[in-house]
Amino acid sequence: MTSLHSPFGEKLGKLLRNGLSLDENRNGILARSAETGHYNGIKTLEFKERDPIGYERIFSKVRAGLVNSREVAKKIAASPIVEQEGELCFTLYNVAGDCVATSTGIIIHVGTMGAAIKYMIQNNWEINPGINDGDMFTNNDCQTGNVHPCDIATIVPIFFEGYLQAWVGGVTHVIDTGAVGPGSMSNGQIQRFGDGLQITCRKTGVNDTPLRDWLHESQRNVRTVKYWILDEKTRIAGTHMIREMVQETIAEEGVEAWEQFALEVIEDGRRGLVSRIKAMTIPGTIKTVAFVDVPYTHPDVNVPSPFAKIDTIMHAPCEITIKPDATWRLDFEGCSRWGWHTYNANPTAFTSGIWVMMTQSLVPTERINDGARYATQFRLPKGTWTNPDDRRTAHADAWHFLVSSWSSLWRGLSRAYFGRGYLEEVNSGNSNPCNWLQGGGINQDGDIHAVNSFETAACGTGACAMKDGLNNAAAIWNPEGDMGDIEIWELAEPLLYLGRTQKTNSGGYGKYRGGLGFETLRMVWGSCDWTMFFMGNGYMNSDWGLMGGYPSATGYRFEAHNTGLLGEDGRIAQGKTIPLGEDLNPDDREWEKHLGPDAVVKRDKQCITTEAIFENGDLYLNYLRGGPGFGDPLDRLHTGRQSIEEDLNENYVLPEFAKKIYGVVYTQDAEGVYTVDSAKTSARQAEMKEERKARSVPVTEWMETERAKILDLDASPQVKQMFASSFALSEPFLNEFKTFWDLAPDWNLLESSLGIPMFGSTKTMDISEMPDCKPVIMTEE
Amino acid sequence: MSTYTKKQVHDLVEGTLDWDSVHKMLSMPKDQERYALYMEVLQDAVSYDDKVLLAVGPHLNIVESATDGEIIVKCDCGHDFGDYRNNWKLGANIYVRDTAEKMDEVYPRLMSPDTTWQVYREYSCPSCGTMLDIEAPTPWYPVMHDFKPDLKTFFEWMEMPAPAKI
Amino acid sequence: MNELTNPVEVLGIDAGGTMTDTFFVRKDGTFVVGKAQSDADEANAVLESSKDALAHWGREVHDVYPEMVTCVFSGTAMLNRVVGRKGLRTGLIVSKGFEDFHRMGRAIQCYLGYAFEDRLHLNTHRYDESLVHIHDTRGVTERIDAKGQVVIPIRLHEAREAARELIEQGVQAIAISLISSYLNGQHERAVRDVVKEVAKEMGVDLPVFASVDYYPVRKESHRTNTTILEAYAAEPSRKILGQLSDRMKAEGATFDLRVMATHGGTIGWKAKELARSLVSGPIGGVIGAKYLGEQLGYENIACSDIGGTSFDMALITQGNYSIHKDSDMARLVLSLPMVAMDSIGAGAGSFVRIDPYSLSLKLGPDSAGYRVGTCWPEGGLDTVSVTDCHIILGYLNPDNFLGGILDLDVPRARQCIQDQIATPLGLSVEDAAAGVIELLDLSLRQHLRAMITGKGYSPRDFVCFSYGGGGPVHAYGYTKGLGFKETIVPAWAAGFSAFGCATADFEYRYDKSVDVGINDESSDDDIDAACKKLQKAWDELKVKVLEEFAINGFDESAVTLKPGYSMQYMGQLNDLEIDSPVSKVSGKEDWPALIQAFDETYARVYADAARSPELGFGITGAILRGSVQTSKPAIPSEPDAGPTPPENAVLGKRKFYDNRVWVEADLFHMESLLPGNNIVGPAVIESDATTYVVPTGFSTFLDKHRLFHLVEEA
Repeated sequence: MTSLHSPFGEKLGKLLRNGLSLDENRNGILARSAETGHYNGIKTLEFKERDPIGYERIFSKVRAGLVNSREVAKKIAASPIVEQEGELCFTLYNVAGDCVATSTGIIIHVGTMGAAIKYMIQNNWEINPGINDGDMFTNNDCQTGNVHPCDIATIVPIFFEGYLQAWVGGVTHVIDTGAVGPGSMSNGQIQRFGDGLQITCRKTGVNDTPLRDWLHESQRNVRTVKYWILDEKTRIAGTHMIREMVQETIAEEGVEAWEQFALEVIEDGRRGLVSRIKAMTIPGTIKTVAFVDVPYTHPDVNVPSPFAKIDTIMHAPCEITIKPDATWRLDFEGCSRWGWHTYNANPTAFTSGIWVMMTQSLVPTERINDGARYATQFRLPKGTWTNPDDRRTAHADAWHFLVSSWSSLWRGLSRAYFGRGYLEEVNSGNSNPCNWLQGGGINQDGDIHAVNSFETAACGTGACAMKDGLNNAAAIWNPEGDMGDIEIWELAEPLLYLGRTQKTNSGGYGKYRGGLGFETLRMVWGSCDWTMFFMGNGYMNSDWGLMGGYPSATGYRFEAHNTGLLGEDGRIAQGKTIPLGEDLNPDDREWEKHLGPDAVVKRDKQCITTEAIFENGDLYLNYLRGGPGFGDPLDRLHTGRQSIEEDLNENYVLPEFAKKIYGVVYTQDAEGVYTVDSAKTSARQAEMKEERKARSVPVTEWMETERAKILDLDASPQVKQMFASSFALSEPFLNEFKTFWDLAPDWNLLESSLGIPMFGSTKTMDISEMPDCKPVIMTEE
Repeated sequence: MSTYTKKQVHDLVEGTLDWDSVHKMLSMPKDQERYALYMEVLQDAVSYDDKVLLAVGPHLNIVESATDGEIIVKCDCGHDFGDYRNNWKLGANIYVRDTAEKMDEVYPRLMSPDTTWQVYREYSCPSCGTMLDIEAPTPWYPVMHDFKPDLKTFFEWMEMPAPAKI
Repeated sequence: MNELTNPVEVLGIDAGGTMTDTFFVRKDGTFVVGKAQSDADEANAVLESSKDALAHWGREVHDVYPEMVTCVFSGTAMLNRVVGRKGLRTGLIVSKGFEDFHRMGRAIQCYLGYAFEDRLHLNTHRYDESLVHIHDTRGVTERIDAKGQVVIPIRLHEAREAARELIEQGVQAIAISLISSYLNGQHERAVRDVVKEVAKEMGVDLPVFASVDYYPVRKESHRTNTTILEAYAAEPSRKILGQLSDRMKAEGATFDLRVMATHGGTIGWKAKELARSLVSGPIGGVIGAKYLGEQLGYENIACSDIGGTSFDMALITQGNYSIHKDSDMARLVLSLPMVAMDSIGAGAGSFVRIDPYSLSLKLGPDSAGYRVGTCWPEGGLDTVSVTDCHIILGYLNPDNFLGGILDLDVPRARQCIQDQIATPLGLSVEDAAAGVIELLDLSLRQHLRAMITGKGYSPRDFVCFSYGGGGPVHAYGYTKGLGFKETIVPAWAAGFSAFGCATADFEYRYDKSVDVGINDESSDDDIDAACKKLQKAWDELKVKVLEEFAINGFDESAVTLKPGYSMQYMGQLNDLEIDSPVSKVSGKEDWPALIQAFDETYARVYADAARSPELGFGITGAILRGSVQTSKPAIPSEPDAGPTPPENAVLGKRKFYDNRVWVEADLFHMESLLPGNNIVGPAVIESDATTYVVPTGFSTFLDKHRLFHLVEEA
């Protein structure tokens, strides 16, 4: 029980003009919203209808203030992640912690910082530690709404004439939070206790000044102090600029107008989403599913606890129900269990993160706010990877699962766009943005350092229903993607580039092909004590391809040690050939031909590893994935724009696979230019359709053989583990499975039967069981 | 709100529409009329007389049967996949890439899934061999029923008369 | 005064896509403007336009050109060549393994220049065709690291091979850009020499551009794009300007034809870095404002130029505009130093719509352009534009729009606003239209404000200049309440950019990245070395600057050099450009002055709290500007004729919707008003090219330089 009396004499109900405590005030809003289906029970937008210009005036001031403050603050940062990749975001909240408007940037934080504010409200921060003008609060706790520990939020209350009128939050993605593994999205740790510094809505500043104990403590708990310091200054400068803007706006427009606006704008946002769903989609239910691999039995995955050494698969089925009233429901019944790795996500990360993607097609508008959430019902069953029921879970790379599951939602919505004839909006699902190049040690300047390359922000995009995907262009979490300049990354990383190339054959084939990813080959250079590791998908992909198109290529790993490149008698000094540029067909192992005799090369599908030692001269391949394709590849144009011929001449596809997939017949001239013989190609494609018929069987026939495999429990351990954990968490999923495969009523597959450790599958404990703690719950469980 | 000609919608479907028009379609609020024009364009393209109601793929439509008014899923070639409420995939042919050798036909080995984790299921039309959909699930996974449109409500949204047998 | 005592001295040329304007100024500052259809042969268009202009004075080209001392050209041909991808077929030589980086872009290039909502909207993103095709690209084995050290020595036989292949393939120029060449140019220069050799051996004469000789600055995609432009786009312009110069000489011209450059100075047409003249239009106004400021004693000026499609802003502080180093143009990231301007895609011609999803007013991002709006049926538009709102509210004169060349249909505009805006919002036509203008002005005001406060200043420190076709219409709206010292509308607002170009200095600017870092662990020797490194860079740049002037026949004695540097707290990615407090650094004793100048600027721009001296200081770039004296147009100066406008300036009255009520506004003819005249709002002052609105609560007077001062009553 929270004491209602504060040692500092603060009392509940002093912050708001209406005399309510923040918690009472918020509960009232929630009740009125639930009861009426309109935010805060607002049935008519009285302000907006009475004075549309005045209403718009406030919105315009607020929005411009957020955007401009972000642009200015951004320049303070030292981290390329913030400054080049724009991984910072400022958001304005009403007193209840609901988002009014947000800046550009990574929009997922609309919800995560809101959850932190709500946590402070629900747990009566109002009386202890107290909420005063000039305070700063810092949060990055993944049990309090945050996505992963490296997103640090600075939250500042905005007072006007003595009363709380709003909150502003600023978040930056810092390079390191002092986790077991270096880098912002590291793995190796398997529990919260190794996941890096976690701060729970801590009061870290008063009178606009950061507290010295906080500065000293936080700075010595992370590796990259310089970035940490400047990132915090960035957040503080931005939030203070916005606070000033809001106070000025209230002074100009009046307190009443502001208070009405701050509520009405969210109902307005709710209606905005509804009208777009109705304008762009089709009522009904869309089912999607996504998977991604967690291959932890491999010797290159070193974790502290034996029970984490298992191969598992993330399973994210989703049923999207678009209702007659054009609201919608996203139900994730059947998701697999959370695990002993850093890819778990909490519900806010998931529900807030979804808007990162929705704003790229369904609601690409500056008017997005928490209203969208109120128009959306989420169901995230407790105990799944996206709603863990245990407080020990690690989250450092929650994105590994989040982006994998979102890709399928985009594909699902695209079915509705396609049906409406909005072909221009279709996206086959986008790529799984990885690899994450990470590592650390002592860098080229002799400093303790950690790196996380954001080249990942420019992966291939999914094919559209009327055009190819874009090569090296964006990431599912950031449409404004960028790979950055090599000459900037080389300042931040002791990694010399030996090439940056479009990744041939990485985009999924189709009538329209997925965008290609790219790859950069790095040589460790100038460091002392350096480690690196890989983070991405390898044995599986999470995207699929749409309506006949193929999924994009999966990942693979290339690293080389003892390469014999450096030194007086090294290949470089000797003028011998060296690995540069593209790893054209990885199966040909081209680079190995240019290394010394004693080189140790790891070239395989193990795309998740933990810290490994890299000496100067060692090589690391950063391969950024391509996007999935759309439509039957045999429908692809033979020549002209977006054609097979273009693919060959631009080196987008390997000739061998152009033949296998597209049935292309071509000639090549002396300078290597390809010319497609359209007649012969058409003939070959006709044969291929016959071959398809010949080699395929009726689905019903195939189901019999697959059913037999199930009855024999004939599948790999990781596949069985995935089903077993989903069955254990979801009766409905189990029944659906049994019905589809026509299995006996008592058929089941238990986690206990798998013969692998399943720690956490029987007894768990989450933060709701902690003393004096009221967690924020905003979804159905 | 912008509106477009049937020709423009036709070119969109063909993939030949000029970029300026495509960009406008993306940036401007959606044109409610698109659906009707789209249906005309698709109707012109198919070999059969049944009325196209909804496109579920480049070669796959939900149609109102010209003979008995039933609402069914049809391939461009005329192959009938039956009642639109059922999963058309159950009436398709399938080829499963569940070995490394079969995957070698698609990607270099290092760039394709390990089939003990994930397989490709290629669904094609039994009559014409067109590739209609590709799934990439784990072994054992039930066949996905991707989309169950609520056509009755849809035609209300479109403010159009719904076919009798919905 | 006669032709002898009042000769024509200055010519400004603005060669646009459709029209070529010329702007002649006499010794006493009086000027004439000429127009001519633009022409594939630019020299023709310029002479035609000159004829047209000089006719006002009853003079002939061949007797005016000889008496002129200055001629500045600015045009859009080069930009169009880039946008239309109609440049010289160029070959590109890069570090081996990096052949793709140019065509990969920098992903930012697939949404550069997009409105916010399109930037979010992934499927709108699109790469333009790369300037150099992958088949015209070759790699050479080599690498230099981020400290300038050679890691892989260059293998020149590959360069030889590359050059031969490219030339055989038929490229007409070759650009060279190797990773980290900005730190150590030896590899790139070696390649350059080999390529020239090979060309010679093959008996072909083709230009070769090594990035280190042009833009030795960090960020390979910017540097490479810019170097390619020198070959792809600037080379053809060089030829055209040469022809123009010859034609002018044939008419007796003795002046050196100069070109407006992105850094705000003008450069000779023979300049090595001609790509800097890629964009100059909007810059002209800023230069003109700076010049006026110098003449009239305004130190801090906020420049605002509103045209049909965009609102461009720039700041002049302590008499200088700031420079943006990684500018972008034509959806390409570039390393051209460019006068820093903020631009927003909202203008006097923006479309106005109700967003059907949020039922709220939406301005732009697209504009009616030359098609004006629904008020001009021939324009064929049925979407309301801001101009429509101005027309129905009496801001603009429907009978004298663009000098009366268009027939406007006011009732049609009213109806469109009624149907598209007023009814959905439940407002009267007037209030809907007034609301549109209020919101546009608000957004302009916010951006103007943000730009000033974002640089750490307050509008109170600034005089605001408002020009461009739409500026004077909106001046009151976007300056209202910001508290500028003064708001000034030049009577020649519409021709202000051309005027500005003519006032630009003859100035070259060269930049070079340097990397020095000094923190509390650094020894005095480190500091000493750092200072010497900066001076060394300045010395290098000095050679380049003097080289450029030598081409135009100026020797060192005529050149004024202004050194500057970019500094940051160590590790930051952004730096600030500082005019050096010392003209020369000889050693560590100069260091304190350098960091103090930076520290002060930083505190102003990002607030004290953001200062981080504890991290140490890094110098990231050396800058050197060199200029020579040129003759500039005088500013008109006329006698004071008292507060009352002359009869011939009074055009009567017009209904004008002002603060939600219809009032009778006095109408005046701008050109007929005389210095000293004072006008109290509501009033509308018309000229063919622009309209100056003075609503209730404002007054304005014309000073002896023909500048209007807009005064907001307290």
